[in-house]
Amino acid sequence: MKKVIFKNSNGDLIFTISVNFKEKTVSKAEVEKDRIEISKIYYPDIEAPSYTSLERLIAHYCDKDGCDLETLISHIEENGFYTPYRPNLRIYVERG
Amino acid sequence: MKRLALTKEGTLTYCVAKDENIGKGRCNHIAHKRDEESVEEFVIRAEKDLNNSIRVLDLKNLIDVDGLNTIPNATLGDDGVIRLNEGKSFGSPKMVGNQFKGDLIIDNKGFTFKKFVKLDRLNPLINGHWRHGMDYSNSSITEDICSRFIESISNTGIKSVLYNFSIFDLGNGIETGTISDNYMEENVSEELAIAPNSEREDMKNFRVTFDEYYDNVATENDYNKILESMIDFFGRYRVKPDIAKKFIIQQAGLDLILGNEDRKKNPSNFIFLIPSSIKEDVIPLNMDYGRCLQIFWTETSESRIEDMPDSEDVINEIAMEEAKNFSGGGLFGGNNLKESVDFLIDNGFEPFNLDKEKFLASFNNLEEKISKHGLKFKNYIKLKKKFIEEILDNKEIKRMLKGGY
Repeated sequence: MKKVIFKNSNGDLIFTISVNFKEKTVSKAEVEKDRIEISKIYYPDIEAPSYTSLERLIAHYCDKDGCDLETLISHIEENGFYTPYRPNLRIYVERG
Repeated sequence: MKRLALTKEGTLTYCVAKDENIGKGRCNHIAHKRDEESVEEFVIRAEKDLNNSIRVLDLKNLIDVDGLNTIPNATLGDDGVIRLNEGKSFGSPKMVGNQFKGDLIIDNKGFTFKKFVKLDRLNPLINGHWRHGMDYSNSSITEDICSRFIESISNTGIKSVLYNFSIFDLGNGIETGTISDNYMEENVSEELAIAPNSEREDMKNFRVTFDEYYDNVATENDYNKILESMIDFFGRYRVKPDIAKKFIIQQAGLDLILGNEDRKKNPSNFIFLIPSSIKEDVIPLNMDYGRCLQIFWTETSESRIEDMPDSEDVINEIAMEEAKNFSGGGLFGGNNLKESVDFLIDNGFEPFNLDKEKFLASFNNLEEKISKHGLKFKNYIKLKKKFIEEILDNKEIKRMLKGGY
């Protein structure tokens, strides 16, 4: 289980979503107050998140279509995240 | 002369370098106080520059799953060419549009900048060729000219992206394109306003469909109906009606003068800056001027005119002829110029305060870059210069300029 945390480049929290790689499931997103609009921009399926849509989204951001979510998240955890498609978005990963 | 300046380490000291020596030799400053700035204004700007610089350094070593730099590094050489550093790969093919684009971290003698690069090369995902003519294959020149035009107006009333013509070597030999600053400020996301008919993951959230835009704007000829629809579309993204109208009219003013052929028919050329907090205003952004000031000109035209003894006269004649038929561009252009100007003025257009001398002088810089690298656009640039001079001399266009010129 890992927590995927979406922040802006100032470090302000936007939303958090937990991912269970074994069961290939995701939790409901915890969206910060007043941040639903920007959350929808960063993750259009925020209101009905799924493992598949999160995998597709992050693979798209990383220009790695078809890459599995676990590989992408592990890479982000170790190396950090930046995408030219959303230059102000940062993704952080925490265990738990 | 000494002026307040910011060092790389973040301290403010006085710089005694002459203007021409700024950033060279013993000057280790990354920002200098401008004459028109107060000390307070400079300190605010300097802090912002320093923060940006730190952020760029943070991003510099990020790698992707394949071990490549996420944002490739390049170096600006003494010859003015931006060269990709060894072992790097440039470009983000999924960026919307025909041109190949991407971010680049550029080192310039110890200073590091992150820039958005738009090459004149086609996006590799597009199979095909540019349509014939330099207006298609070398739109970077037009974008530079239009950016300098916008920069020479003190009161456009709207936020605009400014592009600079640049020469690159990104692993494909010498090529041309533009660089621009990242136009997104902190806490802001940039969003295309109208669906570009795409099924992409991050583009599912459009509040205006391609068909709606096509029916109500792209194919509509009634200016009032177009304005009404656009204000409605902007409103769906929380842009207040008065801000929307002001933006649409002022942008249309620029597009009319610059003959922009890529606004009305292209829904992907409307962009908003959306703040992360719902309490802050959404800001429309003016961008993309590659299809302005269109005159058909090819490499063959360029080389033929070189051999003509009276090339200057021929260029002037072509430009004057084109300007005679000029009917403007943008949402409210392309038909009767007088009616377009009347419509804009009736809807609150604020005439532009243009520093014409500054604008025309900016062509020297462009010509210098071209000639330094032996690029064959010299006459094309002269043609564009004469063309816009003629447009600015048009009696209807003069109504849009303060003082009328």
